[in-house]
Amino acid sequence: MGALEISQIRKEYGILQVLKGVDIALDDGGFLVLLGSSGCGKSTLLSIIAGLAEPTSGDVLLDGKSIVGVHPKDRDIAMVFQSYALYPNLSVARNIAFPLEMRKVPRADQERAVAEVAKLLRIESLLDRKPAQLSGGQRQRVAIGRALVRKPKLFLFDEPLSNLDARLRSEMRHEIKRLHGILGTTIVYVTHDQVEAMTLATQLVLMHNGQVEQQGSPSQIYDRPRTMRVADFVGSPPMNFISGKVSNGRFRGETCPIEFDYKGPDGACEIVMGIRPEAIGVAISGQASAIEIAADVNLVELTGPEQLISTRVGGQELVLTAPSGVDVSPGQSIRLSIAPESLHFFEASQGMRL
Amino acid sequence: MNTAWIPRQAWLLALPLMAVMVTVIGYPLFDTIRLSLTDARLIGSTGNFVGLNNFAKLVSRPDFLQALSTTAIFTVVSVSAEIVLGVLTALLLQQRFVGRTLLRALMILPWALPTVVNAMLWRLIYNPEYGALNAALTQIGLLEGYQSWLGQPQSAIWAIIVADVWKNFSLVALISLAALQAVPRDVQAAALIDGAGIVQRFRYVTLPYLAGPLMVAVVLRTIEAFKVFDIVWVLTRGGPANSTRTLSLLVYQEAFAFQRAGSGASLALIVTLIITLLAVFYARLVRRTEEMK
Amino acid sequence: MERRSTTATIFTYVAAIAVFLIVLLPFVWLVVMSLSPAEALTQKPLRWWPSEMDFSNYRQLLDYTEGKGRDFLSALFNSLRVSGLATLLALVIAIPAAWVVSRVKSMDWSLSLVVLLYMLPPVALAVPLYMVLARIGMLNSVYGLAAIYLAILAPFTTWLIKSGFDALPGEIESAASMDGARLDQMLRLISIPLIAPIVATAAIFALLLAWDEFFYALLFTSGVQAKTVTVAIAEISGGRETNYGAIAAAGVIAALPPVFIGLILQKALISGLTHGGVKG
Repeated sequence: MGALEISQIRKEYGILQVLKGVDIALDDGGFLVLLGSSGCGKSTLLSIIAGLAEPTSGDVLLDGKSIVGVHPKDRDIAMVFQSYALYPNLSVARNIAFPLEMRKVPRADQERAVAEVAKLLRIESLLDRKPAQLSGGQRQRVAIGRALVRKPKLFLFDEPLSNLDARLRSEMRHEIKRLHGILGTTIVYVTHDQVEAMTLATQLVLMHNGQVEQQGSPSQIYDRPRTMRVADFVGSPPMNFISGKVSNGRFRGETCPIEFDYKGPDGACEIVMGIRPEAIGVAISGQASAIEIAADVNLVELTGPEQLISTRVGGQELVLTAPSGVDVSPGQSIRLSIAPESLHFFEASQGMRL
Repeated sequence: MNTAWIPRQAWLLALPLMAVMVTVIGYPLFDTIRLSLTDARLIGSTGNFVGLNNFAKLVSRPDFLQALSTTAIFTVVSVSAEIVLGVLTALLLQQRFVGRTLLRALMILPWALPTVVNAMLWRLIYNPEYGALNAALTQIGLLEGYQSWLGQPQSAIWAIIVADVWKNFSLVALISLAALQAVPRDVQAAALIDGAGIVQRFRYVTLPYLAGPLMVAVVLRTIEAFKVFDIVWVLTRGGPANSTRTLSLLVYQEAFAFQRAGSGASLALIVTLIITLLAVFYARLVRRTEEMK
Repeated sequence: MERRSTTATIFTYVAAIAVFLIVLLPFVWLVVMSLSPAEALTQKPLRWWPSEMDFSNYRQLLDYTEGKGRDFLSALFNSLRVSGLATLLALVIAIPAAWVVSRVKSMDWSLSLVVLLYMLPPVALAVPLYMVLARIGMLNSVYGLAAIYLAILAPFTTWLIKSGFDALPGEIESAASMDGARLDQMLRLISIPLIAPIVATAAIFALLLAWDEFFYALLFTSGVQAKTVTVAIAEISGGRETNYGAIAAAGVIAALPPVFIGLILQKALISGLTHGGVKG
């Protein structure tokens, strides 16, 4: 129970197209993360699944049944809101029990369910408090508790961690992952944070401009980005892109002196080569298959475990990460080594992967 | 906005309000328009259709023109005085001095005093024989003999204006003070550090925050002042020699004292028209102030 | 924030004292008159301070067994009934209307219309209202007057309460509706309790406005069974009473409830004023 299918969803406000035909499928028990920058339509899509907004056209199927036009309360879907949306005038216990109270569940069953959820979320000691007396992390737990208590087919999370500080955010991330492991319910989770997306998702959907850019497992998205946009959005620091031409089986960089035998797929002569910062090494020499390039170091930023090195290769900037032990300093000339199998190739006009 | 969950019949929740407004305001307004075209009496005759006769007669009647000018003078003078005194008082209440909290609290008193009680109080103060104003002015030597402040056409309207200003400048002061307190501290500090003088600071830092709320106060006070009835009724009933008879009082006399419902209704419509024009004019002005921001 | 020169300080204090006296002296004089024996107020030169407190004015006004007291007390009671009834009904119709106007964008026009109607001068409605009330026998009736007050109070209470609903985060209501609350449950359990302070402010404004109203009361009430306190005071001050102390005492009693409310609830009232600037 809990398989979700979204087909050809469009949403228009007047002439403004927010969603332009979205198709997504999610198996029962899956954890789907909708990732994208603000304005990409991910939150609108979530509202449509929840029933808080109606699509202009298209269908949403839950367990094979269409839920478009069904009132939110009858969809068997629970949601955790960005602002938590706790009821400030009700106690924590009553907040959690509220969905059961509205469904006329007997008082004793309500109490049992609240106790169970409180134990699961470790908030037993907070049940008598009002939301205003809770910390951000505690409010988040209560909001999750209120969603859990009625055991819905589908959970929706709308950027649930964006109001927390960094430490709490990773704590709650683990908590959500743990809960998903225990309960095994289907989850749709909206975020703009790629770390959340990569760590939580079993299925990741990257959205841009009202369309699905790519759907896949986190590793698929990371290792085989379908478009330059996906490659650019996922990964930090972002992927380096070098425009170039392929002729006679060789790739030549447009603005930098990079040249190597092109063994990638055919199909275009104007292409963009992508390389992730972590796939570039500082050459020790002697790596037979590696492509080697000379580069000038511009800037070295130590982040702790590693350092970000910005270099210049001809007219092109290349960023790489290196272990903090590697000794480089600005102004120095170094040689970079790139393994050919870690290269991504996109055709230049549309940015599609080759 | 996500409003798909709101049931389609939700508008029904506004129905009781609409029903009351239609019954108690919409219908009478419509009926006033109908009456204005008849010579109906308040009691008895339901009247005959006379077209625009009532209006034609009214606009040439000297008592109408006199009431119009009295109302205009009252409105312009009291509203200007209230705004100037109110803003000055608000600026004063922004300064630091011992007793500021008390004075701020007291400012609500004149506003909270019922209009009729205020009028009654000033009627006692202006009393020609035993009033406090006469007593005080003669005792400190500013006045030779007792005056009948409300009994002389040249002073009566000014006496009413003073009483009205006293009650309503506090409202303007309170609104302005609230607006002044919304001026961010660091903007004031920045202006001070940047070397802006007191006039420049008022013009460029304070005024932009004050302008909006003050415009609202001006609109409300102007419309209220143009409708003035209570304070005049209690202080002079429009006398002496009709010198303080405002438009609302004239409508009252025409429709209720003389029971000329038709002609009273036309007069009321003229008043309504003027107020609507004022409101539209002000709405434009308010929009332009907002655009300037 | 800024250091002041001595001249500025002196000027500030002079101005503050002037404002203090201007605001307070008329009030003090009203109270002094009400506590003065009748002779003290008709002496020349005027006695500014009575030799002894005289409560007889209050005693007379609050004595139900005498004609004067009965008239005044029933006027007070009528005012209380009319304002209370009109306020209660106004809230009952304003709260749901305010919610709809706040949530449903296509209802915007209705509020503008309501505010526009609110600006109409009473004289524009008085004649037909008088005729209707006369026809249905509701002239000189507390309920007839309350019905008219209801139409005066409802628009601006709606306006004020709408601003409360506007400030309520939409996600809370979305959450409630997903949790299965019907509209009435959501309003009753969540939304209305959350804006209770604004509803209270609106109620107080409504009470003050109704207590203050004079024009309709003068036209539509005359007898002891419906006449409100503003009409009673206008009559007393208009010549029926020659004892100035008694007039002042009546004014003090009528002014006490609103002045008391004004002093206690200053913060709420001022925030209401800046929200809508409702009472002119």
